[in-house]
Parts: sequence; structure tokens; C-alpha cells
Amino acid sequence: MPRRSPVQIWWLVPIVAALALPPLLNSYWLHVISVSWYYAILAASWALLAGYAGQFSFGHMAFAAIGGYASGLLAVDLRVPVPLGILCGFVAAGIVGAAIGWLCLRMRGPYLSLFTLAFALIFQLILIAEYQFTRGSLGLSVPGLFAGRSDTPYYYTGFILLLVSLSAMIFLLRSRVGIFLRALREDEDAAEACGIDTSLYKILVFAITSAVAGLAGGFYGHFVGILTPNLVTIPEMGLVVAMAVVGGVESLSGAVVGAVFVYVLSEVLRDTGQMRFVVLGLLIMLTQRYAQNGLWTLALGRGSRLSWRKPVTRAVEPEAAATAVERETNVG
Amino acid sequence: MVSQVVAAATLVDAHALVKRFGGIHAVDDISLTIQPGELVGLIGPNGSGKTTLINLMSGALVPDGGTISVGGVVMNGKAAHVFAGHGVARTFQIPRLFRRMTVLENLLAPALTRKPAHGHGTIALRAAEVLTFLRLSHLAHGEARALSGGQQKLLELGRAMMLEPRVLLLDEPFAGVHPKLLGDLVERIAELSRRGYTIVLVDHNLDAVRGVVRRLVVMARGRQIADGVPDEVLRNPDVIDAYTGA
Repeated sequence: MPRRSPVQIWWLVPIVAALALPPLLNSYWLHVISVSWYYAILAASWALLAGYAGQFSFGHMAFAAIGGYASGLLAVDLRVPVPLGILCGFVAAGIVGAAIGWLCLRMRGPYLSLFTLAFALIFQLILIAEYQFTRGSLGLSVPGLFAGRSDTPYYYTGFILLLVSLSAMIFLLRSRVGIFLRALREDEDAAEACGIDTSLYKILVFAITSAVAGLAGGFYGHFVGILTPNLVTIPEMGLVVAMAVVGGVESLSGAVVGAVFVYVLSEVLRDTGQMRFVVLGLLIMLTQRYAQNGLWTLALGRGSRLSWRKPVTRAVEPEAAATAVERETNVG
Repeated sequence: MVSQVVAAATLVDAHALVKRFGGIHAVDDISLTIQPGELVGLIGPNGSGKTTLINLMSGALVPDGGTISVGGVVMNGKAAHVFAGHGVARTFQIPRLFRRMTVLENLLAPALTRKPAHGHGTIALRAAEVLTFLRLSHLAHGEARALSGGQQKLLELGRAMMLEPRVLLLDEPFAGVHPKLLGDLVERIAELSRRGYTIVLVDHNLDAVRGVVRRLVVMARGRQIADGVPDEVLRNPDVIDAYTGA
């Protein structure tokens, strides 16, 4: 039976702590942490797209909005049960994400970033203009996921969604797809020459990360009870990017830690008014200058090395090679 | 030991290939057939179209005219990964490694694109064999960007070998390699040829190329000007003209 490494067991500590936390929090901080789960899902999925696959999309918030509005409109107009609506939002965001990935096949670097940013801004304008469906800037009131006014069920739901989406993305990265996505990030032409269908994996990573963003958006809408086009603003996108960068854009766990840390810090500094943005800006600048792999990877002392890589590479010694990769990875 | 590549009857047949960039004919009506087990040298002055021809033969570029077949299958318009799937592996003039991935991960990436017959453990075993063959085992877990120029060339060769190719297209493997590593690289390529690999070797280093190849093709201004045994080709007046500019 394979032994669990100390690192894997160590991950149980924050999970247990997060599960035990709600009774210790007042309603304000319970709400703050619950919202931070939403940002954590967004930051981790963006880290997968940008940090691992090298696709610097600035349209991520549009996919969260697609998930949120799809679920909200289904619930409001068609009386679709909220969980089913969230699932539909997840699928809708994934389909639109795949389409955007397909459209971006020949775009790299700043061209891709500008294209996706333009898509997000156009989508925001559509949300404002299509008043009869979305109620424009006034916002669309959507029913809650749970009856009652307590945030505790949302806290746990958000946390479970985070764990599930994070586990799925880590599973993906531990498979051969993870190596292909990183090869795509490093050099698309070389990846093609190695037999990797870069078009397929580009579309796939857009679809998956967009679907996850849509899931987060669906949860968020039914949690806060109102959806507005402000979900898709550039500052919102910037916040998610900052969260991933501060935690570590090449680490899913780093992005999660970064999201919770940045969101909680911004709430702690709320009384300082605009100064909190100065502090957050300085934090990002210092991170980029002194810890480009993010504060979380720095704290773990791993630089850019990632724990999930090790099982794949451990099998290099000829005597261990025959069995190790097959046993220790989910390559398939 | 690295497994022998059994050269099947399926290889590369380039027929009347044409590639233009604006008004420039980078490749102009080139026909070239690569037979199983051959080690063909492809030489020519700068700008003669060698790399463009390699790009056409590997699917990185789509020809404007002519056909390119691999194993009897016409490949015109197919993506580079399809060429790789048909057994065409290549290296680049300037190594294009996955720089922030480890040496071992660089080798695993191409191998994982194929479903192995005997489980993924065989891929790791093969990677270990290739590392031993290239004498890079001690660097397996280091990032590729930390390698020297010569080591990067070796790793790129290893990455191509991991595809278990029918034909290896090596684009200037000797360029910029330290003389101490050059002999090692020449020896590795010669050894691959002895093991049955079919290789097309593009380079400027005539001494290194003529030391290993049995057939030499010369290009100048996008056209093929000679094809034959190295000693004869290098005495060809057209080849001498092309190189001396006379």
C-alpha cells in the first residue's frame, strides 16, 4: 500500500481547520471567507490557464458571469432548481470557453490577452444593454441556494466546490495532460513537433478553466443574491490576477492561498479607505520583484518546483523505471 | 541499450516541393527521397533553403506546391503533430526545449503522446535508456534551461528519439557546440545510424557531416544542385561555385 508523504498529510491541516472555523467566526468574517472561496476557485482556475498552460486570458471573469447569469436566469425565468441551474452555468461557461479557445488558436502573448479582454468587455456591455433579460446595471436578483439567512451553508458549499474543483484540476495536472499543457506554455512549435496536438489542448484548457469559473460564478450569484455587470470589470479581473500572482501563478494551491490572503487582507484594511489599494499594489510589486513564483511557493521553499511533478520523474533510475511511473501517476 | 529501430519500407518522399515567402523562392522544385536506414547529409550555403525544406518535411510549414509523403501517405496540409505521429521527429537550429521543465519531463512529453504497448513504465524505462545513451542521466531532474548549449542539443536529440521515429530530421545539430562535445554528438548520431535510424542531417560543419554521412545532398538558392557520395559531391564544380561564390 503506498505511503502518504508528510506533504500530502500536511494538507489535511488547513482542510480540517477550514471545516472547524465557522463557529469561531462572526457573521461578517463568515461572509468574507465565504466570498474568498469564490475568488479562490477563480484564481486557481486562472492559474491553470495562465500559469500552467501559458494562455494569459483576461476574459476569465466573463466566464464567471456566464455561469452566474445562466444559473440566475434559469432560476428566475424558468424556475429551474438552483443546483441544476449552477450545473447548466458550468456547462454553458465550458462551451463558450471552448469556442473562445478555438478562436484564439493562432493567438499568442499580448494578442491573446487583448482578444480575451475585448471579449469580456463586449460581454459586459451585452449584460448592460440587454436590460429586459438581465436588468442591466440595476442587477438581477436571484434566489438563494439555501433557505434562511445564515452564511454557514454557503461557507461549506463554497469550500466543497473549491476542494472538488481543485482536486479535479490537480488530477488533470498529474496526468499526461499536465505535461502537455506545460509544454504548450514553454514552446508551442516544439510541442507540436513532439506530437502534441496543441490546438486540442488549448481548447481543452480553455473549456475546463472556463467551466470552473462558471461554477464559481453560479455559486457566487446565488450566495450574494444579485448579479450585476460589475462582475466582469477590469478591476475584478485584475484582482483575480493579483491573487494568483501573490500566491503563485504556477501553483494551484498558491493561487488559492493568494486569493484568501489578498481578499482577507483587503477586508482587514477596509477602514484605511483607498490606502488599502496602495498596500495591495505594493504587495504585488514586492512579490514580482522578490518572489516571482509567489509568496506561497516561497514560504514552502520550493521556488518554482512543484510537488506533483515528483511522481512522474522519480522513475528515472533504470531499475525503478519499469514500475514507478505506472504505479505513481495517473497518466492515461 | 536503446532499442533498434526497424526501418520499414515507409519513408519520406518529397516531390517537386515549392515554398515561397513573398517573392523569394525559399524552396524551388526540390525532389528528395529518403530510403530506410539512410544517413543523408543536407548542406548548402546560408539561405539555400535547408531549414525551410526541413520545416516542410516535418509539417511546420505547408508547401505552396508539390507533395510530401511519409510512408506512402500524402501529408500536405497536415499539422506538425500529425507528422510526428507518422514517425517524423525533428530538432531545431536553435534548441527549442521546454526550458522550465526538467530534462526527464522533456523526454516524457513526446513519449506520452503515444499509447505504449506495455504500460507507462516502459516509457520511463526508455527515458532512462535515452538519458544513459546521451550521458545525461546525472542531469535528469534539473531544469532544461540550466544545460549547456551542447547538452541542450543532446537533449533535443533525445526528445526526438523518444518518438521512436521512422526518420530523424536534425537541423544543424553541431552549430554552436563546444568542440569537446562535438565529437560526442557526432559519435551519438553515427551510433544511431548504425542502429538503423534513418537520419537527415543538416549542418554547415562539412568536416563533421562528411565524417558520418553516406549520401550528401547540396542545396543553393532553394534548388538541389547535387546528390551523391560525399567525396564526389564535394568535387562537383557547382557545389564549389555555390560555396565559394564564384
